[in-house]
Amino acid sequence: MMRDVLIILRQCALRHWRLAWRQQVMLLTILALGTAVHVAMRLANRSALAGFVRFSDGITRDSDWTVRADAGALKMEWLREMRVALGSRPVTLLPVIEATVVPHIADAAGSVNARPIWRLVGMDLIALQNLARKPLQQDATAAPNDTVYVSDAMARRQGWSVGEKIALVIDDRIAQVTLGGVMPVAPDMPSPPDHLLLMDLPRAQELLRRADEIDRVEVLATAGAAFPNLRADVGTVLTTVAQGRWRVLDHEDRRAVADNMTSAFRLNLTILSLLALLVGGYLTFQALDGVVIRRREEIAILRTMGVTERAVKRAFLIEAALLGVCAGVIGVALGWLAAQGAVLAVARTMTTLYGASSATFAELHPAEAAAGIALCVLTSLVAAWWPARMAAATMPAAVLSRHPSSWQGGRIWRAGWIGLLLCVVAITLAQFPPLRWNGSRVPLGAYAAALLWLPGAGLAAGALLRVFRGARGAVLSVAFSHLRRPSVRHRFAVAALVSAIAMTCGMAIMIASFDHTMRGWITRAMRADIYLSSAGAQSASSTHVISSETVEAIRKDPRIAELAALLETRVTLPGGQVHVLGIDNAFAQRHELHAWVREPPRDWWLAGDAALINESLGTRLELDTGSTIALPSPRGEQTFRVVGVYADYGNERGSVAIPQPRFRVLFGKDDAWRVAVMLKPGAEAEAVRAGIQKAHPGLSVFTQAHLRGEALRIFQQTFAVTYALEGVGVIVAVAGLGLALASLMLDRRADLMTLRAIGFAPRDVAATCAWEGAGIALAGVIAGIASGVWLGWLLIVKVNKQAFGWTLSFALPWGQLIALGCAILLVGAIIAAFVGRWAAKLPVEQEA
Amino acid sequence: MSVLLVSDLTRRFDARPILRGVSMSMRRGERVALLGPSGCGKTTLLNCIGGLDRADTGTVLVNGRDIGRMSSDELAAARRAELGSVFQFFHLLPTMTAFENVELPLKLLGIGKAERHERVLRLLDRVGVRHRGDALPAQLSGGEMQRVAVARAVIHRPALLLADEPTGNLDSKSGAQALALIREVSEETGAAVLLVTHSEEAARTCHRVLRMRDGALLE
Repeated sequence: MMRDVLIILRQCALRHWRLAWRQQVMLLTILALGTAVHVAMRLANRSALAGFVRFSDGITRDSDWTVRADAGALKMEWLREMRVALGSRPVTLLPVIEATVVPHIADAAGSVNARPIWRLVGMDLIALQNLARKPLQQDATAAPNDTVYVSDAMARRQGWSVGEKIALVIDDRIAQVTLGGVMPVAPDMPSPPDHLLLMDLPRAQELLRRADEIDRVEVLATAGAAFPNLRADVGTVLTTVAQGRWRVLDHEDRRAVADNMTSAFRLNLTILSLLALLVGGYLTFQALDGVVIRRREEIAILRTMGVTERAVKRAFLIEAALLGVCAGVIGVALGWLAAQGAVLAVARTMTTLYGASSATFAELHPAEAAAGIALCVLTSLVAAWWPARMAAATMPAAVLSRHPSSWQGGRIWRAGWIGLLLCVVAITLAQFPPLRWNGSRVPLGAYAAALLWLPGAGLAAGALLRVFRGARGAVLSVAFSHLRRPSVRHRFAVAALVSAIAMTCGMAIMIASFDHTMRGWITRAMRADIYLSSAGAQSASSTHVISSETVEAIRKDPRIAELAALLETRVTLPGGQVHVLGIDNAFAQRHELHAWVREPPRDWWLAGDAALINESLGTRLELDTGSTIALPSPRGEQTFRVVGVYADYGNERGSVAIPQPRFRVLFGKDDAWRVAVMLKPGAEAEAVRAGIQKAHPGLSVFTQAHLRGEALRIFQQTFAVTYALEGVGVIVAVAGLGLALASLMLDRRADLMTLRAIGFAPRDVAATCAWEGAGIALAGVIAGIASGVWLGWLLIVKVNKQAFGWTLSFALPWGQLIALGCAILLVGAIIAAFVGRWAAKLPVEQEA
Repeated sequence: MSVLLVSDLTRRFDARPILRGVSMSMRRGERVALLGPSGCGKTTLLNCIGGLDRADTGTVLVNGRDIGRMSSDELAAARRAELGSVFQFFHLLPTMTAFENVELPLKLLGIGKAERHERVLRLLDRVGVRHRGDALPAQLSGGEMQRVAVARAVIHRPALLLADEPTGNLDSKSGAQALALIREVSEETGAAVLLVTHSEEAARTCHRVLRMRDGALLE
């Protein structure tokens, strides 16, 4: 058997690789690109995540425990309590305070996300010097008060030298710090993140105006004979004395937090990269199908010589595996190169979303390279399975007798009921509730429904080809005769188009629905004339606030009629952090700022324990009106009764709104997170904005129109990548159509000769092919758009609701869908005509 | 005037000569058998006459028009109007019914639907497969397929019918029927028939026999 396989590989495959090298290069390129995209996404993804995790590990070695408050900050006095409780144990407690900061750029006030985001970390530098293997380049204790240290890479990138004055936006202020030196790098330690500003703890507390507060305590235990179970012992002691004020997390907990926060982001990237590989696999399938048709005669000859079906099939699969290995190696190398660029983009996104990632370089581990190659081989094998089966099933008599032997395909693939069955299963799966996992909700049923629906609708759509009948001219008669009795290749071509168009339409519908809902929400929620926030509030994780003094100063402007401050803090609930908002309820009710999912009674805020929640929190924690929610606070856990649910498309983490007086009592905060301003009649919004901006350069000041525009711009920017994916999907589908038609034409060479013998001119043959392609494209467009509408419904009503807890209104972008359909029809027909012109020039088979 | 006039035709594939200065002619209604061993160049000669292949040198005149000088469109027009082809393996279009296969040449000529239907049904009746008009080629027997192929080749009343081993894939009874059918329609329509065959028996149904060896006619 193996000898036969080797003969086939040597005599057929290698010779074809040599003679048809362009085709082989194309095949390799298709597969390698799919692998490259997958590897690049994966490396960039991992690298950015590693940067995110490394953030807390960057200054010292991994600590044994991290202590964080459940709500608000830790107090310095609690640190002393911890020290006392630990007694004589050889443990170092390293308090840390941190905040995101942005550089002060005078002309960048007008747009959101326009500045780099850095992180200011305050640590006890004396303790740090003792722990570090390499001391800071300058005696930190002797440095001036405003000294910061940065990584060498950051200093070089910014062009800073020691003594450089750096202006930072902190809350609503502009503060100046001085560069004291660069952080050292020890060979066995992770390199410091390159957007980190390190400062001595007391000076950072002073700068951030958070005296007596810290965000976390890193606990480092030194194991020794006297305390054999020191690490576990320390954890137990710190947990025991916490009394609900803080929680003690070990290394794995911290990674789990990072993992949990970024899991959705990584899932999306992984799905996108797999999609790229799927696309590569589909094109490989089409190309290998063509290869089998070209080699069919050789296979038939070998079969007459006694080579078995199994040997033929095995030879093709081995060839596909070899192809996969070659393409995999190229793809991994290309992917690694591409990842170097992608990692910066991914890290930037993660920094914006989560406030910290320091990745700049994607490393390639041998295991990852092997996984990339293995995936490429697997894709190639899956793509080659059907063509290999076809090759093995080649009947020598049929091929060698030069019968017109165009292949119709197995009955099972031509049975429309399989497609319909998949659709029915998909509809059933769509009804399943989401899977609860790690505090998150995964719409597994809906995802599975989408995955089954695409091939199901694609296979069922083959039935649409049967409606092509009753043509007048000879060209149309021949073209329609092929559509009326579609082969498996026709059906697969339609299925691929349906999948691509359905995905594209589904995306378009989802974006249109988001757009429609967002515009409605923005119109309702953004009614104030002017909005204020700290200029440092550039990411979702930002903690920058506007001091109550600044708020009061702005309130005195005679052009301002009303001013409402929104207070905010974050607490940890199951599944992650949640915003707790202190709202000015009278202001919100007067201006109807909330879009209600469940409207509360008008006097709800008079009850001391009443709270509003946003829809995503309600969905995530299964809360509704009448439920209770326990919020940790510096004053201990407080239980609230949910009286209303509001829509909030700006926040997927979840938020709880309580009246401001109660908020101030519980959390002791009076600084504003956001401020909304209503102007008196006749006041010019732009003039007031400019006045506030001039008086408070540390603030971002937006007029209503500008903020609405910015919100929509960010929204559209977020979806820009999906538009690119739509384009790729359509191009691949149309390219797949071209390859499928080429295979059909090769398979039908005898028929082409007959047509020419009857009197078909080359342009008639080309036209026949063009009409056939247009027919396939039309069936794909009709079924694809119909499927896309269902898919859009699934994404909006099921996936979004289950995953994010957002109720979106359903919007159909008809114009866009019709334009997409017309474009695919046109491009499909043009490509089919090109294939037809090529087919018309195929030489007549010689029968000497 | 000769329906077909072939003068000094040569054709090479790579360096191998397939046709070496072939000359021949045929009159209207004449049936000529072309006999010869495999590989002697019979099918290549037929392809050159039918305009499916181009000769290296020499001329092929069909009804006085030089096939070799025609553009691809003119060739297609000549095949539609003046040539008919029957093949050993029938080459019916597999996705079209017997009726549609026979109707196709008339559609190419732009003949109206009513006339097409009438002529196709009459011819299918004539060749004895009218009752199989709705059947796909895969549902027909070999003999039926060749009858349909002959009907398709003559439905447009060509001046020259090129038949390449029309009995080669049929049993003796069906083969004899096919030859009889070709002879009858030739007599009815006045079409000249060039019959490529290995069979002496088939050759005997023709007016004249040409023998071919190593790319040259021996007559």
